Amino acid sequence: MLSLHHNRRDFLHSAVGLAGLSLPTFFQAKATTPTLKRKAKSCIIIYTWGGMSHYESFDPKPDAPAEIRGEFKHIKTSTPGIHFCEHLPLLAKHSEKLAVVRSVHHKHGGHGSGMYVNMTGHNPVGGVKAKGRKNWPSLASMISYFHNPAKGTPRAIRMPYSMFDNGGQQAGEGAGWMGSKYDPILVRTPAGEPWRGVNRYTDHELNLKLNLEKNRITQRRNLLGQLDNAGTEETAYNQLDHYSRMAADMLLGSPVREAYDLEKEHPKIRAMYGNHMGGQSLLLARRLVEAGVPVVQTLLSASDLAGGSGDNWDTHRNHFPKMKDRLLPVFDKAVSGLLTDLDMRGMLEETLLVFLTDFGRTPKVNGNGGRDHYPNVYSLAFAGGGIQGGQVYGASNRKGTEPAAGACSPADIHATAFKAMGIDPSTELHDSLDRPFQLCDGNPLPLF
Amino acid sequence: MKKILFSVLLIALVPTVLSAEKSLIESIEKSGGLILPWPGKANSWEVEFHLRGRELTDDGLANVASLKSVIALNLRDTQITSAGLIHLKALSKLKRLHLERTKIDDSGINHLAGLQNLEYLNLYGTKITDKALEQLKDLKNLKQLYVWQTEVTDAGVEELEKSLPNLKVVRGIDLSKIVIVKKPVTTTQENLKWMPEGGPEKPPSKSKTGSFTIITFQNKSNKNTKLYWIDYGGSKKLYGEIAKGQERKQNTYSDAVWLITDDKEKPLGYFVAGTKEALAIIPK
Repeated sequence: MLSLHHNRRDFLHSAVGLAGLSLPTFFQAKATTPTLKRKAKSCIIIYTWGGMSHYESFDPKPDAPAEIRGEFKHIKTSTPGIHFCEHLPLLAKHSEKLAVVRSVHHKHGGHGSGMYVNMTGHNPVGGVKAKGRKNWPSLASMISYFHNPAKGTPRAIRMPYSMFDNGGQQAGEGAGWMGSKYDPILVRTPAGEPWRGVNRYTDHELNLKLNLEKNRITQRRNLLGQLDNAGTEETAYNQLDHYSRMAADMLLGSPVREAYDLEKEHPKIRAMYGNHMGGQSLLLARRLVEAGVPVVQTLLSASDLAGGSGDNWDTHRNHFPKMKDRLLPVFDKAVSGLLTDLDMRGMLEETLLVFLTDFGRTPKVNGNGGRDHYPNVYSLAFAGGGIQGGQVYGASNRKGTEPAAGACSPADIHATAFKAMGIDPSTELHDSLDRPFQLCDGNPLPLF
Repeated sequence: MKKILFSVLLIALVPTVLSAEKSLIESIEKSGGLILPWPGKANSWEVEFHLRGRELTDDGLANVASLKSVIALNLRDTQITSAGLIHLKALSKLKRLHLERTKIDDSGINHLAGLQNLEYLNLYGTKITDKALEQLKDLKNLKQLYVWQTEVTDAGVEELEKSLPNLKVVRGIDLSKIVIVKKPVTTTQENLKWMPEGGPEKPPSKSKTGSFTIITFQNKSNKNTKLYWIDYGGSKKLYGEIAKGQERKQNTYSDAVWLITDDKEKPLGYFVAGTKEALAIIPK
């Protein structure tokens, strides 16, 4: 029975694609539930790919035994009673804007599934594969569905590259069963010292900087046509159509193209974010949101975890030097820059910031001076978008090994984000076979 | 009879009123305004011009004023001036007002003095001074005021805070305090060997995986060139073009093979990445 489903679906897809017809409107459900609260207008998702240690970020454990506590100290923040890791000194001054959740947990110890559950809010079933059209849509795709920006403005943008583990692209960043129309557009951050590590550009990727001359758009279209669509279930035709059309629209004098040109930003504001891929990506995120892009997702780490010496959060070896010298300073400066900037422009209330990562890191430091994967408890955070800052929700126990209060799941984190964006988490969408899917089965956390 | 007449009159009037509002909404939308219902309140609106209606001028603002129940209005980056603010006087229900990055100055702020429901006012990036702040001191509900990149001073802000103790004035950072640190350019770059097509030395037929590094390609030849990566299976993948006299920074791995062709894809020569950051000069 199941295989029949697949056949029919594949047939439908290819038939539609070959005939060159536009896909029918699959999604009739709209969020009709009236909200009494004013919703956030846009959302920036900040993802620390590889798994950011909760100990060395938002949940330091000064009272734990030395082998768990680690090498770093904790520092006071602007909010009495809330402490961060000592290597987040700038962010500590912004604690009044942050709502930290210290009690998230799930069951997936691998990067692929840990990322999938954080990105989609749903557990992976069977072997999910990158770009699969049976996958759950990413948070960015789902939120973007409820927005209809101007022509030339994508619903969602992600940058600066896709998530890879050992050369394999991971599932969960696309729109899955919602279809390619809702895939976030991947753009390359045009400035900043690159992350050390393996940065793969094998996906559809748009480097607008190379395309600022209008007369090259046709060439670019042709180039896009040559790109490999391997691994997709949808026909290449549909994907290309959506992608190249959007690319061309963006290039032809849209506010997005203007926003992409970081040279137009004040050099001191650029410096405030830090001259690295992380900082410049978040600066670009602000500019894109200002230009009307509803959702922007940024990856704050090198894209391939196989680059063992790269700047990603998968710190199995030399955890402490890596965190201290490369990862935390970039995160600290970039995120603080974004918070300062959004605040002084009066944009923070209307912009929801969601911090996600794969999982936390193991309590005991291993033989290589590293910490391994740990999904039993970890920390995430929110800022802006009507979320009340200066608070911590939930707690891990004294050793940081499991939730001690307010245990919650990635689905609850998603439900909270949906609520802030004025979307009822129980909204049903329908896939191409008209099967109903409830956006999210979590419950919003009381952070408002 | 009178009753009937009255009813007839009422029936006749209602559609007129509705169609007047409808045409008003249509004309606002025509000028790029986005009208959204304000949550939880019937017939109340949020009106935005900052994304699609940046050409809005003072005259266009008159339509918005006629809409009356506007709770939030975003005029960021529009062409309005101080003279246009007179239209806002009618919007007594206004709670949120964005005037940032417009051409307004002190002379129009007096029109806002009567907006008793105003809670949020964004004036960043305008020419206002302390004189504008003086006009705001009776706005008892004002909670947030944004004045980054304006001419207001500490003294002006302090004075306003005396009248409005619950007000949060966001002044933003002082850009003069940000110091741009330039990292010294790494000078220990080695030059990669140029292996011309058909020359004595043959490059490997495909790339191997290695450690991350960066190559700076410099085209010193007199023609435009294309840059291809020879992948792990030996097939070539286009990465970009390097026009004559131009250079391009490229992330790569050690033992990666890079092919340079002319713009008609005729191979000219090869580079093989080493472990260190390096220069790859395409010769004349």
